[in-house]
Amino acid sequence: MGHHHTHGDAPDPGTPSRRDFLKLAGFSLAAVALPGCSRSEELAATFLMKPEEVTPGLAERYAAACSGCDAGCGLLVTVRDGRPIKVEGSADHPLNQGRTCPIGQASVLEVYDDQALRTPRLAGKETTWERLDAAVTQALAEARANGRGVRVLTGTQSGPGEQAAVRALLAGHADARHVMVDTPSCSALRKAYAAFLGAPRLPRYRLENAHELLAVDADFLGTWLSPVEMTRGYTAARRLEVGRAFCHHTHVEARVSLTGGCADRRIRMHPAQMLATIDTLADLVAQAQGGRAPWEHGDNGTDAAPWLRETAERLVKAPRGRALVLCGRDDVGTQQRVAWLNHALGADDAALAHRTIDLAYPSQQALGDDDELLTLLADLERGAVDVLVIAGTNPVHDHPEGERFRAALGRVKLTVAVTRQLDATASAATAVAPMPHALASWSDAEPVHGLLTLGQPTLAPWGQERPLLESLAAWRGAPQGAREQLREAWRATVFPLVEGAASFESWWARCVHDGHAVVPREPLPVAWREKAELTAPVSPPRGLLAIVHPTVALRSSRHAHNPWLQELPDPLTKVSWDNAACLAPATAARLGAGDGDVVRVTRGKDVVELPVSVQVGQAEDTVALGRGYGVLGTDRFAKVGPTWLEGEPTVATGEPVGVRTEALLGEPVVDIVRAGRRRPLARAQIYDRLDVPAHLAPRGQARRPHVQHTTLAAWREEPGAGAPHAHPDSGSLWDDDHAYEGAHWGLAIDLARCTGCAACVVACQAENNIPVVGRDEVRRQRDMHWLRIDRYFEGDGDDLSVSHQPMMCQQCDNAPCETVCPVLATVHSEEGLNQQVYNRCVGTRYCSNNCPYKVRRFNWFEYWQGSELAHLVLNPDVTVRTRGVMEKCTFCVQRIQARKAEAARSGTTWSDGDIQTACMQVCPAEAVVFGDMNDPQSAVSRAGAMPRAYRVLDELGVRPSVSYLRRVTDRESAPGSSPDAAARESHHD
Amino acid sequence: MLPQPIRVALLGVTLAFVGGSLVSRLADARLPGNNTGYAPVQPLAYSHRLHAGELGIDCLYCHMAALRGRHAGIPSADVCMACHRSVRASQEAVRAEEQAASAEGRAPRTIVSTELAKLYAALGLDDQLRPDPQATPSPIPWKQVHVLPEHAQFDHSVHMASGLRCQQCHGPIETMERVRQQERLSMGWCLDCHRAVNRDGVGGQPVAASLDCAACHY
Repeated sequence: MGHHHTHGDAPDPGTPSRRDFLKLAGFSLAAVALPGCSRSEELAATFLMKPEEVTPGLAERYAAACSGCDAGCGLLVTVRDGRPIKVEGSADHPLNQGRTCPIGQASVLEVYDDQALRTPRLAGKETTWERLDAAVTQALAEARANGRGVRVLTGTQSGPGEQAAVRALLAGHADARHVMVDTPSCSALRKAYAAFLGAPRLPRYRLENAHELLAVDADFLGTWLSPVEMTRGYTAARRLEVGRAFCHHTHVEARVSLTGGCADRRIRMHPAQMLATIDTLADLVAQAQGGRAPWEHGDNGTDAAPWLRETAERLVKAPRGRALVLCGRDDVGTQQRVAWLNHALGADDAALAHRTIDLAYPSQQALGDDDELLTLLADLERGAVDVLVIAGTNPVHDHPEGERFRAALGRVKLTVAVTRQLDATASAATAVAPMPHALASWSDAEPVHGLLTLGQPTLAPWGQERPLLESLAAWRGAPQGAREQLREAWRATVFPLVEGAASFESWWARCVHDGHAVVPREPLPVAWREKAELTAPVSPPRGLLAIVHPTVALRSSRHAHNPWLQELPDPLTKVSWDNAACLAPATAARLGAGDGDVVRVTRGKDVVELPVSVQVGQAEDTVALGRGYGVLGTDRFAKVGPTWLEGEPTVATGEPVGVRTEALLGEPVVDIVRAGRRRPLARAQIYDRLDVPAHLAPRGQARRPHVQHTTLAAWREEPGAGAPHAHPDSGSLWDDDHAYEGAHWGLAIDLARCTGCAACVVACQAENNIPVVGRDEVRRQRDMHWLRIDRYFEGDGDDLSVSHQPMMCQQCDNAPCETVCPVLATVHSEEGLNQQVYNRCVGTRYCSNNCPYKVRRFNWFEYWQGSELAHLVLNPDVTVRTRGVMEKCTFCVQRIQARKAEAARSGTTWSDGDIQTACMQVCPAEAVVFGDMNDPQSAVSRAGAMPRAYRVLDELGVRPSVSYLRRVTDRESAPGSSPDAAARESHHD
Repeated sequence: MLPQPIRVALLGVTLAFVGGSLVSRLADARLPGNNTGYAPVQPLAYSHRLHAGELGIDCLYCHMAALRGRHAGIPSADVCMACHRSVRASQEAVRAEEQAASAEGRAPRTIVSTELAKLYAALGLDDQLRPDPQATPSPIPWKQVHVLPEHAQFDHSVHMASGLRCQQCHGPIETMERVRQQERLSMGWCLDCHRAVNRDGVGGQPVAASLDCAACHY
């Protein structure tokens, strides 16, 4: 009958206790009720011939290339039993250095998209590759014979293998062009350098060297160019160390971006004023250097705003080469002025090792040219093109002239779309050639001159998908495998540059193993033309402008089919499953529209109807609209979310997620009116501020201290500056009954480094099998993310700062959840973890009610784990929770156990940093540190002992195991630091 | 709380009812989920008694993954072929054929045991053990004997590293013609052992077997 006598006084074994009686009765009745109930047979099919490197149940890791965007980051893919289940950044890759963005994290889910195309299509019907290839080859042959136009339209293709494949296809055609387009575009920036260098060039920014940074309308931490690389550089330049420079960041923007919220000084500005600001700045800098900006414009800096004067001074005073101006404006003239400015500041000075711009080894992460795309459109419209190959890009959706594109495709004899989804472009194409996911095919890229990324497949395609390289080879009549093509291209063009390699084979094997190669390419010539002919800049007019911007979660339409990204709350608005029309409070008030009121944004025949999200800190007379929504085929998400009496579908049948806004690209003047209906937004967070309403706040506590924030100057003077009034430790009701003799796990999160990019949220989701709940459940605050990011606005209007606080289970030593669980489903471990035992949980939810951090998640329904195919992405080391069960973060206990098992096997022990939680491993800002708090030398102990460390809701006495490090910005005063607080601090000293 | 006599009566009635209905099957009465004694007929009558007992082949020769990770693993067919490319029938059968052949004055024929014939068929091999282009290889559908209860994570390698013998959990496997589940594999059974080894060690060596829920449940 088991062993229930664990307490001192054993009851008389002769007397059956009530519990014994019930047990006996219950089990006996079960035995009566289930006569002959025997276990079902479970089959175990084994390998006939086991591949040498594969052991069932053990993970293999392969280097691969990230397909999230064209930044060219390297991945390390975890493959279990033949299926990729998780991606990490490749630690040796020079760009992302082991980290990814949320999109990179979520890309693994797209491998298991059951609606991705599997079969080639011709004229709207499924066909065979033979027929499709015959049609394309014939069309190409005719075009060649008649000298007609052939075009290949792709995203950025920088790899020697991919470029060679396109070149080979176009060879021999009289009128052939390869057009590249980026979504979002960086075309203007690249072309701006043509005036100074003779050819377009995309500068490579080295933010890690910056001491002074001004960004104008460039969301470089969230969506611009190469966010992971830039985040790594940015946080390296802003490392808080005594005696080390801290990069000051001034940000000018109209909408509120992820980057703007992190800045030391955020200037909100209507786009119409931005060009004049850059002109004035150029003047101020030139004057300080005793010169004059080489272009004519209105004023010469005499009436510059104080902040601008100060910024100019800072830029000039910074060590030469360490000042940098970034600009995300989509206008060649504006970008040329910024390029001149950076040159004047010495940012691109090749003589300086610490320069912030590298032009000799430039970036190739965005080679798209918007003018060439317009030329292509004109060529299509005049009927000059017979064959058009569109690969991996969706101009009908992504381009403002998408409708014209769709119409123009009708004038092409044969359009073939190489794609994963039957998107807007593919549905208008004659032929559709399905391609496999990047993790199922070979690919190459050269994101930076001399740095190559090589992607290898980690599984076979599900259906008949064929890699782009193989399709191109088949169409030029010389079928060849993608791997062989890459090998040939690399052997011919890259290998000759390599020094000291024994043979091509050994070098190639190393490249495949590493997923990247650094080769000593010749630097590109940098002969700066002082007398450059500059393009006239274009500035948008004053008036109500639409700002269509990429979002952190989607960035473009490419990932609209990814439910993890659709459910990821936007880091600023916290809206999921929708895009919104963001308006400044004053603009919204003028319209009489509040959150959730649908407005109609009109420019000519283009109409966009979206619910309003009122955004403090946004420039007045602008409406910010996220792009990548309203994508064809996203009506598939209608069934996401539980079906019940009051449940609403995530999208109405036949409706896509969100609304397409790309038609309003280019900052046009728009009309905006209320549409007269409401669409409440699904927000994962419904409180925005830490301020306590004045009439409720106790004296001196007008601001809750959950996110603490101090200034750089105060921190330099006193590293503990910014601490709020400390509550006296009132002791604990509980005995200290946990000795923590082994490890005592803890986490430290540096709020000065966290940018709020949300990579950790998706990494946690991927690692821990967290389901997608759908729009309606998010709206009811039932999102399941174990790790959420609390976002708080501080200040407003012209002085907005945004704090992001990753919040997960705090693994309290005196956990309030543990004491109220009636079935002991949540109990304390010997290592300080607050364990959640799913098979004990009966779903009373007392624990969640008693949790002061509100980090517990309850399965109100059997939530959506995607299609049956998508179940293959689930981590077999983590239980999939069912309806009626509470769940939460346990510091990735499966990773702790796996590392302990490894230590047991090898007879060694782990050292600090060996065990990484998913959030720690992914963080591009290195803001998260996990480890053993019992080891005084561990990174987490050292972080926890810093004067900046504090614990959230420490006054409750629950003794959380997560420390936060106070946010530090280089401002004059920290938000919320009232004179009161300052006085109290000095009193403490 | 009910008065004492009623409680006793209630207990008696229940026990009588339950006992009466169970009397015929009392011998195998057990808790649900307890599969002790489960010994399914396998598609191929592999004998652990012969291989592990009589021939004394180490468990890890075939179940080498037990040292490396979570699953000990059912060996893949190529592991069998390491020996059975040469050994195709029992020694007795081969001798008998040799004697018969010499008695009849002919060359001995190749003798293949019926069970090994199934292995070769699964691998799609012909009489000469070469790949048969006509045959379709298909995995052997072994029946899993030891299945842990749901929601429990178990790692063989940790238990191997602590010095436990396979027989501790799998019973005298070297005596079993057909594998049978010997132990309960229930949580209580796991914890009994974890407590015992924390007290007594394994093979004289002290060990630290965790009693935390999260040691197995996550």
